[in-house]
Amino acid sequence: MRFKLLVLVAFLLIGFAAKAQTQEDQLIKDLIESIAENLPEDYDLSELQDRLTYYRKNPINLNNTNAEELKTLVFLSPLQISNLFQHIKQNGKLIDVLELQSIPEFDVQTIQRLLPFVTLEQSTLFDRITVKNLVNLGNNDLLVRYGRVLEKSKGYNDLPGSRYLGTPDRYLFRYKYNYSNRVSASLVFEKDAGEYFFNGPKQYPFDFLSGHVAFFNTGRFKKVVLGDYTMQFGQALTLWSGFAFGKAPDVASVVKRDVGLKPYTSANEFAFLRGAATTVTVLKNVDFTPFFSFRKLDASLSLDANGENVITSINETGLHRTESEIRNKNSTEQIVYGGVLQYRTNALSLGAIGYHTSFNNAFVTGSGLYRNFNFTGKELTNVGANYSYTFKNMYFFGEIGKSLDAGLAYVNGALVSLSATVSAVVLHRNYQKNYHNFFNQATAEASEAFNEKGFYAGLNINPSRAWSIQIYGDYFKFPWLKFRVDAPSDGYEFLGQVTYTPNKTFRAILRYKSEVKQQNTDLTVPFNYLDDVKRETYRAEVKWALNRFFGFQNRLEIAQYKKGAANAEFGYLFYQDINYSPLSSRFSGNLRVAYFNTASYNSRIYAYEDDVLYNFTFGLYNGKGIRTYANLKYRLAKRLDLWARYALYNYENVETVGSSLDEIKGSQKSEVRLQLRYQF
Amino acid sequence: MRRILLVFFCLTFIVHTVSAQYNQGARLTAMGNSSAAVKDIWSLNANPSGITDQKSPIAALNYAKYLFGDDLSEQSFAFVLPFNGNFAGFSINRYGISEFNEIKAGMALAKKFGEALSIAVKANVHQLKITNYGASTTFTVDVGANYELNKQLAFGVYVNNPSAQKYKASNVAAHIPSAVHLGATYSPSNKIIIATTITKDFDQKFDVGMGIDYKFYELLSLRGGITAKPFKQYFGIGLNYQKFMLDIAVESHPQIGYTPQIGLSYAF
Repeated sequence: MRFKLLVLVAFLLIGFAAKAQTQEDQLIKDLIESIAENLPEDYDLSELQDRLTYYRKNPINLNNTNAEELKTLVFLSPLQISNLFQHIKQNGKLIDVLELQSIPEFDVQTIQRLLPFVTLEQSTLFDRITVKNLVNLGNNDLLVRYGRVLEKSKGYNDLPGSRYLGTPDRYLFRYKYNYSNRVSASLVFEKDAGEYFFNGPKQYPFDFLSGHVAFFNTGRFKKVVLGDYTMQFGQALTLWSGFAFGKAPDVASVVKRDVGLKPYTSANEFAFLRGAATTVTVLKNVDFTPFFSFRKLDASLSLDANGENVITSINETGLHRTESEIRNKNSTEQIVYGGVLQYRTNALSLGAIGYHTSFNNAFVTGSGLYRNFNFTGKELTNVGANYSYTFKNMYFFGEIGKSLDAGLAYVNGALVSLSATVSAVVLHRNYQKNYHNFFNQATAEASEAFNEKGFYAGLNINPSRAWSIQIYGDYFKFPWLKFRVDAPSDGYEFLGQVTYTPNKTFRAILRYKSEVKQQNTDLTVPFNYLDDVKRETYRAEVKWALNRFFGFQNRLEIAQYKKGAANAEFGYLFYQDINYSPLSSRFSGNLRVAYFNTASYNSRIYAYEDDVLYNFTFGLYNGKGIRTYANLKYRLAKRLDLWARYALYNYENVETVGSSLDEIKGSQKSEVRLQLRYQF
Repeated sequence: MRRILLVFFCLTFIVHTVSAQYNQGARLTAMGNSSAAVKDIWSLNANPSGITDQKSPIAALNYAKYLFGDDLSEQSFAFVLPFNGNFAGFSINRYGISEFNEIKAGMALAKKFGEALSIAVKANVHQLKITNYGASTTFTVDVGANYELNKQLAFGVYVNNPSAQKYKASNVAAHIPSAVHLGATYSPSNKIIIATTITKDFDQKFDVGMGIDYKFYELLSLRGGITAKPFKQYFGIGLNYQKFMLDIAVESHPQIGYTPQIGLSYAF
């Protein structure tokens, strides 16, 4: 009933929509959406959206840029970037953007994607740092978000044991300041559902607080960041905080886009460093990035035989809702310091990394033989070296990392443009079981890059403008035991995808993915043996535009899960999206209605969901029922935008939704979100 | 005892699961045996209509070594002779150890119908020999066709042993595969061949393979491939020097490990 009403309301609103201003965000939204389809399920796109929004206003000058900056445009491949610089070197500065078409590897799609974010004009902005300029020419961006699950979950009841101590409301406050390419600053507060809002225990005054001040391009100092920042170098094997791309339908995504030191403005409570860092040009083509970080982590502690605190695990969720989560909050101090040396020319880049990580409490291996080679103690030193080299139509890349007194890891690969229509990626990796590193996001099958060997090969074929084919295969081996895998194991993954885009208003995609891994048998036996676990997904999708106002998208996805000799189980998802986004209207909005039916959590399906700007959701479709959501955007004033979202899961034949403290009585779970952005 | 185990291993692993086809030479192997629409002298052991690209007589030798056995290997020889728009081919494969070996020898005849279409048949004799046990023989037929749609796309289909011939001795477990293979190649430039083949063995599930051959320099080719069931990866390089071609391939099987092979051919 509620759903029907919602549809009605949505249509009414759409019907009344008036014509107003153009929508600058639509372009970015479309781009992000097409990129999101080809990303791993857990990638945080808000940062990317931030960046693209920034470049939309302050386009990159292609005649005066560097590889580091261009790598932040994730749809550019390293080979394209290298070819661009090669072209400029040979032919002089670009005079017209049409010239891009003559650069090898720049296909029409890439150019179309690139154009909104680049320029050839020297910025006329006078970008000296003065108080007057900072005030008059700076961009301010203020964002406030509120969200809440409407049903009351078990954790908010007055339970005798563990319960959520705060309110179910979620708040985000973010302020960002930016002046040309010289100064940036940010301040972020966040409260998750179940946390105290104001002045709770260990809160001053909000649960999560993050901020930074950064200066760029001041003499030899290319970057200076005080506050929260991330470090992303090489192939993410030695030093990389924050998210990194991994295996994805875009086969080139295994090549990491290292952008070095970056201010941190996201609300993720784990993936950053806190302190000070700078990138200094010490010689021509040589940069040095020293950094220091001091921060507190959420660790669950226990006492060892000597009565001292030891770390049993680190909690990365940033949730501080229950008594024990609050007790673990900030319980361990982490100090990281070190430096990165980089040498860069158009074709060649070399890097050397060394840093030291220490904690005030010691790590212990914990129970379970599979943890036998995990990091123990309080101190760790990591060193590493990375390279990339462009030779003709080939881009070679790699990194080697070593944790002192422990293991070694290396990864090497090549991205080769075989012809105008075919490119290939190969990647070999070998991460030892005792490779210890707290800032390791290298390409791997497992969530962390250690105890793994593997070989990945992918092909990207674009036989014509309308057709695009992606294929990759990855074989991996885990030489040591893993969680729920009591023996060395191996597996493989295969993906094939065909996209047909005959014109701008129609796109069809077929995707097949298959993954085989091994896991302990479910049977009760004296010694666990391994069973093959096979997960296959089939996807068919069409997206089409009815007219300038309405767009539709349909998807059918089928998942199959089979473990050992047991029968295969199936899950499927079907959805219909309706998108309303006229070029000239204060209103825009979209709507999804999905039906899903999965036999169990094993055959669950993920799908990207539209959300309020800067918030990204990969919906989890598990069980049986209907999922629906509606997003609305309304331009209140020239610089003031409002977003609203309502989303609902309606399960069939269940008495409760969710588990443990998140359990909700009934068959529905609904959530609202409101967001206001003011740019001034 | 070890020998017996090895023989057992050969029979179960190689003959039954791996060898839905006979060795196709180092080049086609490196492309994941995705050879249904690829033209090569070793098409003799795959789609025999693929021999119709040869301009002059050509002879080739191939040697594959199975690393889990001391002397387990496969040796192959192939010869193709073009004459008056027709092509005659001869091939022989010997697989096994001295106590256990299997030989397949065959004669092929291929004909071009216009520029695009080629059709071929091949007659084979098979012999299985086990020391202190005896020998058994049988005959099989392979047929194949290749169609070049345009410069970029070609399709191929071939069938091994359509009449499902078995070894005459009923107490021999060795199996001669009966399979249909359907494939295509895509060559966006004269440097690249991307090939794929779907194989349906009458007794097994579908297998899909994919391979690529990239002419890196005039002299040097790089190759790679994968097949799905079981998941195997293949790599190879080829060296072209005047009339000689030297091909090396490595096949990686999750259980068996690496199987290297080397092939040499000479075009007269």
